Amino acid sequence: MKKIRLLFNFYKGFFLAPLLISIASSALLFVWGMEAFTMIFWYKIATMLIIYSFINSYKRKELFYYQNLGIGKLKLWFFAYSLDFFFFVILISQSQKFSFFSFLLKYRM
Amino acid sequence: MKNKLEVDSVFLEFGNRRILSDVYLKCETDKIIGLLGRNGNGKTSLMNIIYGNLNCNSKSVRFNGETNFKAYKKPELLMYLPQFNFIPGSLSLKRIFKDYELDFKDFENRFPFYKSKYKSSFQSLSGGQRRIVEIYIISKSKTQFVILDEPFSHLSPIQIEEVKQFILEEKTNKGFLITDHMYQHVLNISDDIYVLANGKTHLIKDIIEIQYLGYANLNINMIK
Repeated sequence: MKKIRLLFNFYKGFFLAPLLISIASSALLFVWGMEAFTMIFWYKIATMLIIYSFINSYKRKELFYYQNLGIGKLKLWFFAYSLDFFFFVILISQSQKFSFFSFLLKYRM
Repeated sequence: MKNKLEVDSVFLEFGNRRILSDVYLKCETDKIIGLLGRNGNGKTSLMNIIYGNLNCNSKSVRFNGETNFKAYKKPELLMYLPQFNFIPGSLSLKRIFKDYELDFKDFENRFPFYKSKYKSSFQSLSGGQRRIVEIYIISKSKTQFVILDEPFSHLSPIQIEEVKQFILEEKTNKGFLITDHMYQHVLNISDDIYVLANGKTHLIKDIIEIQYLGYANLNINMIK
């Protein structure tokens, strides 16, 4: 239980940026439909890599806090990636139900 | 029970530059080992190698005779205080002490300044106050060995004396490996001193060797 809390705590430190990307991906899918899925998927993967490489250097010192509690870098990143991707899948799969994205339709090219 | 940490056969190169080549170091419960060396001689690299954070060409790190290449996966064996602040600033002292399973009451009895700080965030403390929290949680945790990289930097003279006293008390439970350029404090509390020079560790038998190895110019009173 303690380990889960620590993993969540690490993710909590930067969850907002990847979550906003996932919400944006969901909105793009709502507007463009399924034919844009491949592009949106790779957009998410690319932004994930950028965000995580930035966080990895920005929060490099804090990793010692978790290492001293027996949680290595690999576990931290695996958990953060998995959770982030889980939210992405949920948001993408439910995108057609998010009617509040409909205001974006008027901007559709 | 007396635990033993031994390090040898360490070989580290950065490009063509040889950093570590002939290292032997032994630490035991109830001992404080001081590691001195000039900047760039590989003290922090050696500590990271022992902790398992830095890959090198070869190494042997043994805890009670058992090899362990990734000591950071076993905090019950070894904990490491890096030379910079490592605790996330947003965490409260309450959270930190819970994570490390330590009693805050013991801490505030020893350092009364923190009495009203239980719910304060780590980032609200000054640099020296943060460092004391970090030294305390690493040194006090249930582990066999502790590595402290520059524990005295950013501390006032009074704080240094308090920390030294605390480490001396805590060494009955574990072994310490300490490095700091405030070498007089390291000399004060260490049972054994190693100087790292030209990639090799030298166990110091006479304090004057520190000068011969080019680490510091000792004043005459110290030599006497």
